[in-house]
Amino acid sequence: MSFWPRFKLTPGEERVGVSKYYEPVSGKRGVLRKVYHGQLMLNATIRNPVYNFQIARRSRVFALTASGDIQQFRIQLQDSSGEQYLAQPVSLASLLGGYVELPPPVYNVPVVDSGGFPATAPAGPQLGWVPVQGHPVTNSPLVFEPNIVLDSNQSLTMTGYPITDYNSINYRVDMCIHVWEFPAWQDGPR
Amino acid sequence: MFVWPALELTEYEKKYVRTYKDGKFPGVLRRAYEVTFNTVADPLTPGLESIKRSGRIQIARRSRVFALTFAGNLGSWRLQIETASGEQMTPKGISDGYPIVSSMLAGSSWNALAAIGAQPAVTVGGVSSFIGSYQNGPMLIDPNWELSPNETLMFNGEAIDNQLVDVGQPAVGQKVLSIGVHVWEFPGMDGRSETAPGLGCK
Repeated sequence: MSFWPRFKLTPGEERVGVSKYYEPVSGKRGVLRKVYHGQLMLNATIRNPVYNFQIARRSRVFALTASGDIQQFRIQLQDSSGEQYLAQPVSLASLLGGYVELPPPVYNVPVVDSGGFPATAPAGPQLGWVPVQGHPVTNSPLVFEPNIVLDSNQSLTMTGYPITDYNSINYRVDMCIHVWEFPAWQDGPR
Repeated sequence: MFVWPALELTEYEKKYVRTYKDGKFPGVLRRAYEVTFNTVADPLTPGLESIKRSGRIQIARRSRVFALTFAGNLGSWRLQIETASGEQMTPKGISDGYPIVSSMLAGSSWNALAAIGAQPAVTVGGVSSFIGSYQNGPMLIDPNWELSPNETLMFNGEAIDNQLVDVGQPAVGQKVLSIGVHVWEFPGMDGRSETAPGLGCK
């Protein structure tokens, strides 16, 4: 079973002349699978970083992937109409799944058996707390099914929130949203 | 468990090919191409003899790219993928660069720009190691990227390094990235259009 979803046209998309692949005979245009990049930085002064994805073509967001300090962020997704796709800011680690641990609840205190980092020696004073042991892994993309539908130039905003109260260093997460773009629909829904 | 996708022919393609060769139509070929990036020339390692930050595939037959696989320092490379027509498949972000490869995939979430999530600095024989790196399956591309005969798909890499980003210097140390490009090739299909001059199908 593949975790990447296969593209399927909706009846409405078929009606406006979209095809999965370009059709030379009818002239119907195909759909493009693309990857858009964004990043969030979190530190002592930037507490709620925001990143806007905006695509000129009508598009459908079907997945989200990320790397970096995943365990340090909560996120919220909201489109420009105000619709929120998460009921509340949710930890990115729990959305993506896999071996990505949450930081300890108490700053610089190793916590065992409570979901925090393993009790190991701190990597150094610059980090301020114990490091991840093993290596952080995400099991699969976060798949949106049904997809998040964005009209032409409608933006999707990702807002980051810190997991803990205080950050002494720059935490960073790089994300990608995976979209299906509709070149035949550049002027918006008909 | 991960399953590679099965080929599904479009009605248009069925005029020219079949999944397997039969008496009348040629069969589709499943092939793989490789693009490699390398920040430091390594004369003793085949494929890494020179510095490479770009590569391309160009296939004589009409083809469809259905998956990408990656190996190497995934958290240390930004990747731009562009067709010959200028279509950006991994567009540049509004305020930053192209996607970091590890952020495009499931698997190890090492990221050279991260604090805790950066890959441990381990060096073996002068080459940054891949210890602890893991990929959870290929990145599927559906709908596939269609390439006309001899159309080029370009890959450009940009190496990043956490220690030097703040002072605006290029990355140092050897970072490599190998990209497997998995395609279906369609013998006997010369192009995508039945009417456009020079792109007519047999």
